[in-house]
Amino acid sequence: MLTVQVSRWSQAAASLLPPQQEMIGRVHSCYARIINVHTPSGRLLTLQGEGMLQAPLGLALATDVAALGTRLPVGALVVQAIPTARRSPAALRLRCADALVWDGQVVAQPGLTPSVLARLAHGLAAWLCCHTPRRGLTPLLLALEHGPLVLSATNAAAYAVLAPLCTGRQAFGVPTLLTLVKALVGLGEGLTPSGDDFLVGLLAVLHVTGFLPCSAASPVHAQFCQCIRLGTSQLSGEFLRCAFEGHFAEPLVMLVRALCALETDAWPAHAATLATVGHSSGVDAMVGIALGCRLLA
Amino acid sequence: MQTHVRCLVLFSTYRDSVWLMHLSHTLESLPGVQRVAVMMGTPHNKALLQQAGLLTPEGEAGGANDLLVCVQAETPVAAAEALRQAADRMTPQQGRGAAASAAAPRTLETALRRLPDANLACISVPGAYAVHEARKALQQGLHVFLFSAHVDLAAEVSLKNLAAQQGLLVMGPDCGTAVLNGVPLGFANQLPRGPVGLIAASGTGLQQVSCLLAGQGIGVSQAIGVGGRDVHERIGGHSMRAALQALAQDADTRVLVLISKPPAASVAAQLAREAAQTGKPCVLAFVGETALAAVSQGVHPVATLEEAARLAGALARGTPLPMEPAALTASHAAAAQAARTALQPGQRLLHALYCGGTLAHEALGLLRRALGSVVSNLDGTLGTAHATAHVVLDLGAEEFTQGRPHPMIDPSARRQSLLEAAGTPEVAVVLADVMLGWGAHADPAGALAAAWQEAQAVARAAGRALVGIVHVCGAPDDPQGFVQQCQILREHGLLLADSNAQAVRLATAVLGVHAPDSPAQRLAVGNAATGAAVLPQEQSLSVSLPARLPELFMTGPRVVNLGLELFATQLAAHGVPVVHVDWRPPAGGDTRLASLLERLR
Repeated sequence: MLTVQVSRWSQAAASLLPPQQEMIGRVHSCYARIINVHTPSGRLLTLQGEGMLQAPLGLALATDVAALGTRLPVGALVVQAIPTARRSPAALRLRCADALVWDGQVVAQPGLTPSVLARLAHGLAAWLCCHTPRRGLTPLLLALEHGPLVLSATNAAAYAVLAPLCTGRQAFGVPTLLTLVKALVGLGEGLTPSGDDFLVGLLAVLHVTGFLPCSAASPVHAQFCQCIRLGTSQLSGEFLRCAFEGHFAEPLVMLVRALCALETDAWPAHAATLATVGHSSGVDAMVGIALGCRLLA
Repeated sequence: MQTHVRCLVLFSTYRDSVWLMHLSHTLESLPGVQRVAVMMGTPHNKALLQQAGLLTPEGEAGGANDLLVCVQAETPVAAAEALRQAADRMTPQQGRGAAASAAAPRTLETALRRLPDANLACISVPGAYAVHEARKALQQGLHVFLFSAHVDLAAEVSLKNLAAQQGLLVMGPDCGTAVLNGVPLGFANQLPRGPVGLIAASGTGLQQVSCLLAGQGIGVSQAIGVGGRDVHERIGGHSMRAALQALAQDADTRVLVLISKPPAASVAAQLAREAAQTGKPCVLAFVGETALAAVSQGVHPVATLEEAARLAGALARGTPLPMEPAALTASHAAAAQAARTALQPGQRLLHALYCGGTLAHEALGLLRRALGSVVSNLDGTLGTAHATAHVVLDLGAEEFTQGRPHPMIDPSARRQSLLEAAGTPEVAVVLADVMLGWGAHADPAGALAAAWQEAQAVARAAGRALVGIVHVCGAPDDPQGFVQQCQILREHGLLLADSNAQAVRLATAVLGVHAPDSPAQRLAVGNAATGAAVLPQEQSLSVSLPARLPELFMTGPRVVNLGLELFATQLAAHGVPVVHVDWRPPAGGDTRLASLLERLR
């Protein structure tokens, strides 16, 4: 059995693993430098190497995760190294006790007036059109400004649902949110489909504006969870569920915090970092942030 | 220009987005390929692919967790080549169980060169070859977990005698489950470690008791399966008695539970006596239409698996033994009453559709006590009376599994029986089990829920309601997710029971009948005063402690796996040293030639 030190983890991941709990879960999937672990309660933890936490339920390990992944079959048991362990057999044991905790929760920020939101929407959209004009859902931003150009199937489907909202005058409400979720969840290319990444960005905006309460007990949460359970993969659904509850991957949190602090010099660097996540995941999330700001402005 | 579209579904496949895009570009650059889409099979994506003319019926089969590779090409050959390349690129990372190394050994002997300190052979090759492989394993000093069935009685006796000479244990043949040092073998649940030692001649019986204990937060030290025929008179409970001796000396085991369908009377008596001699509290769960009466202090005969778990739990905790028989909870009684009111006057029958043989056996005994006549394939009473009688089916029995997987692996086997029940006007209640754990289907509740929806539609179309009652036999940490599996069933309107016996009580309550837990007849050892059947006092065979078994308990299994690779992957997932043998029938399956070759060695 392998024993590995967890060097850093998110608050959300730490809250799922009390110090006295031995069982963590079993390997759900391994790819690139990521190992996903499925917990008995149905959540997906993401094990990665050192660096920014790439998932809201991320754990950074002090080891080469790509090499580790080759030694773990899907289904492999992962447990926590605790003094009261019951000698459970496992393929991987994680030492979490001394791990640094990173708080990746996005909470409501004061001062985000409609005019500020409009300015953020414009600034971020301009950055995306300049730096990633053809990636992911960025063409959607151009289409919403200039009319439907020649769009990919994914962009065209997203345009069909977003264009009426951007041109309409009605206030953004819970029904609008659920309409967007139903229309976009599981839509598009990528391991986390573009529509899901867009929704993650949108949800971040809903949190910083105080539109969305974090409560997992709300009826909206149940409806949201049902949509994602039926509409997308388990992995992408976990990112969405966390986003609804206010937890995000570190690059996105860094950008959102910089945007909300109106750090006009700092946020482009964070945008550039987020743009490197996945093939278009980071870009699609930023399109979600830009349009979210626009819809709420 | 002609176009040909082909789709490949890569089930439960996850690759990062950059890799997926690279795959898409690579395939598009192949000669004759016109368009490629590589996407997760979500409903929205399948709709997009459909609009683009890139979705075939094969692609439709993919779900949100599956990767779809859709190719449009000028020729069928070009399309097929693109999909072949896609599949090849997946292979290096997929299914790379630690046991599935590039050049797997072909024989037990070569496997032992790779794992010289192996102490257990897990054998699941066809029965015709299993005895030969098991004998070789015993001669090499390995304990044997013999999953294979269709081994004749004489061969079983001979293997167990050889094991005794070598100080080894044979678990099986037809042994479905065991948990050694926390490591599940075969179809077993993910159990916590604890003070209860289980020995069972019944796979699903062991699963039921261990899962009910896990539900109480109580773990097992060792759970040893011995195969259903071990308690046959000719075998004399050989492996069960050997395991009993080992657990009697095992310091981690404080409470013993023996589980079986009713053994031969002489074997039951012998087991009861030897259980008493261990000095440890022991629960005897010989489940069926007969059960043992009280034997001696410290030995507790019970009538149901649920009772076994309750009693063992109390003994492990050191709390007073439960005196009251288990009963329906108020919420269950209310649910039964509500369900009953929705039935039509003519709906009076129950059909029980089981994956677990022992669970079916237990239900049959309990139901006959409550309902009188119940027909079943378990005892040849089924006949053609399906439509007019209460029925208990063991869908894992040979007549249902010829040429197809066991219903624990392929739950679709139950769908047909469920639809037949739904189409029978007099059927009111369908009773079913859902077996979780390693080796079982990834989503048995989802499969049952889908079939249940169909069954309800059939009944509704005929103006009837149908009541579905399910027991999920699983532990909290099982791979399928116990909580989620229960949730799926609840969401589909099925009533959940905490145990198989409770499911029977709930089912009979819906029919307006009370189900007593006590068996029809109790067997007493040497006490005919009550008129109970009497077990013989003497059993001459002696079985000694297998000398090498304590070492297996101490250090855990190190395994050579012959047969189903699934078992090797499962062991690797627990960090267990395992070598999988790429087993082929000797002499290409020519048994006569194989026998000649063996004699030449």
